[in-house]
Amino acid sequence: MKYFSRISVFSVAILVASLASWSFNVSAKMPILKGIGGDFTLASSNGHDVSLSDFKEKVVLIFFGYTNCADICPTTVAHINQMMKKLTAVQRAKVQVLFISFDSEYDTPKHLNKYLNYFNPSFIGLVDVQEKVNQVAKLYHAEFSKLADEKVTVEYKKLSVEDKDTAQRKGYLYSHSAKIFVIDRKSRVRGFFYTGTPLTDMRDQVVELLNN
Amino acid sequence: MIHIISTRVVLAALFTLTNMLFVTQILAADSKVDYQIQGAVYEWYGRLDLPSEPALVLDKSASKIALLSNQGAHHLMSIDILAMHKPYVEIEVELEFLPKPDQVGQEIVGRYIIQKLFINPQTAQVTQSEIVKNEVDSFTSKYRPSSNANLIRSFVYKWTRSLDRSSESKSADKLLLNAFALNTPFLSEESNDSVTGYLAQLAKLDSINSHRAIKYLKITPTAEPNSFAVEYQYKWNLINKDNEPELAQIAVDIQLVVKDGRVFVQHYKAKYLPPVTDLGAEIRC
Repeated sequence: MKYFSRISVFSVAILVASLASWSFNVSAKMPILKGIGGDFTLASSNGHDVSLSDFKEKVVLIFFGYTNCADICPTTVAHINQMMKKLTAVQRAKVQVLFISFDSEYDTPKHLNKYLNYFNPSFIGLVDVQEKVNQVAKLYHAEFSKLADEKVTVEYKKLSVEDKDTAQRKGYLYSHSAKIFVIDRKSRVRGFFYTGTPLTDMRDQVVELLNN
Repeated sequence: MIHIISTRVVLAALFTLTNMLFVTQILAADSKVDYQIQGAVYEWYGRLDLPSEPALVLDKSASKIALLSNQGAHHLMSIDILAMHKPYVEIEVELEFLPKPDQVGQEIVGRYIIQKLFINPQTAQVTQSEIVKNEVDSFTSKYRPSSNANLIRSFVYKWTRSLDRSSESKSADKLLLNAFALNTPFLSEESNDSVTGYLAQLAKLDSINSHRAIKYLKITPTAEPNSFAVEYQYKWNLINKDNEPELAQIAVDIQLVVKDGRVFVQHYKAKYLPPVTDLGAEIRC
């Protein structure tokens, strides 16, 4: 009898431990966020139009920014690149980073190509006519607004996207949300990362989405 | 005999169990409200205050009936489930009862009441009531009617429960459809323009653990008599048919009228809201 009760206690302990571990995994799961996201097509730094649906079966990380941004955009893109380095080569091949510029007036696919090459040549930049970009931003509830109607110098930038022999143009400064949209392999928004999200957390979430 | 239970049911059970065991603190802040029970309680008090309804026929104590007659307003403060002993659910309701004044604008002395209700969960009907505490206020109050607001709350809770049941492909409360006329302007968050079409679409979700938590419920009388604007939000969690968790934030706007104790929807509109994000973590430049 004693033997059986010991077995029972042991079994319960195992069950509780399993449930605890399972509970942790469940709570770490990113839910599918309804009412946000969707497919889009924009001109890309690759020289041709790119759609989100081109990356089915890949985890996609989307960031809305602009190349004249002095701080959060380069910091965030660098942060994403650090996370990419934590993935295996096989995993990296299944993750696509898209940088969507809302500064249609200044940024061009060529600019974006040069800018993103500073970080990671596999990242793709997207920019198009303002109306199309606005539509995508609306789909994803990405916010941006001009800080002022006046263009300012962009010489402060460390990452110049202009050719050396081209005169520096002025550009607008923007206020914008700075979240990284996490899209699963079925093109559904699963959550957000931020510049402050620990790299290991980001990697774990991405890997979990790749495995599911 | 081997019982074959679907993986999703097992997952749902484990999910509930693990939540109970390990994330109690999180649930405490966001615990599931039983909208069927809430709807039944609010409907009971809403009907109690209708001029046409016979009052408190269920109360055991005849001497207390006069205190809770239909000549007043029941303002509910809390609803707690005490016990679930079959076939009844025992509820404790804490409320402020304001007797109807003889003259308009006259200050009245209310009563603080704790009342037990016994509800049949199958029919969502109150079958018995019992007053536990009945104290006269030590202050005066302005009379505020409560019947319409209680009936509207009841409708919202029952409607919410019905949407959750539809999302799990279970039968919804068909009587609620009577609140919608054929030509009632209707727009769901998925752009359905008819109630029946919307419920049918939800049924196709075939989800489990669907729970819409109501937040920021606001009932505002409009210029028309017995007409109200109702606004609230849903935080909707579910597990879809592929065992994946889903989350949505939805804003609901309803225009309705209350006539003879019944709610009639005049306009219904729901839309998805942007997900709630961590603004503290989100740096803007």
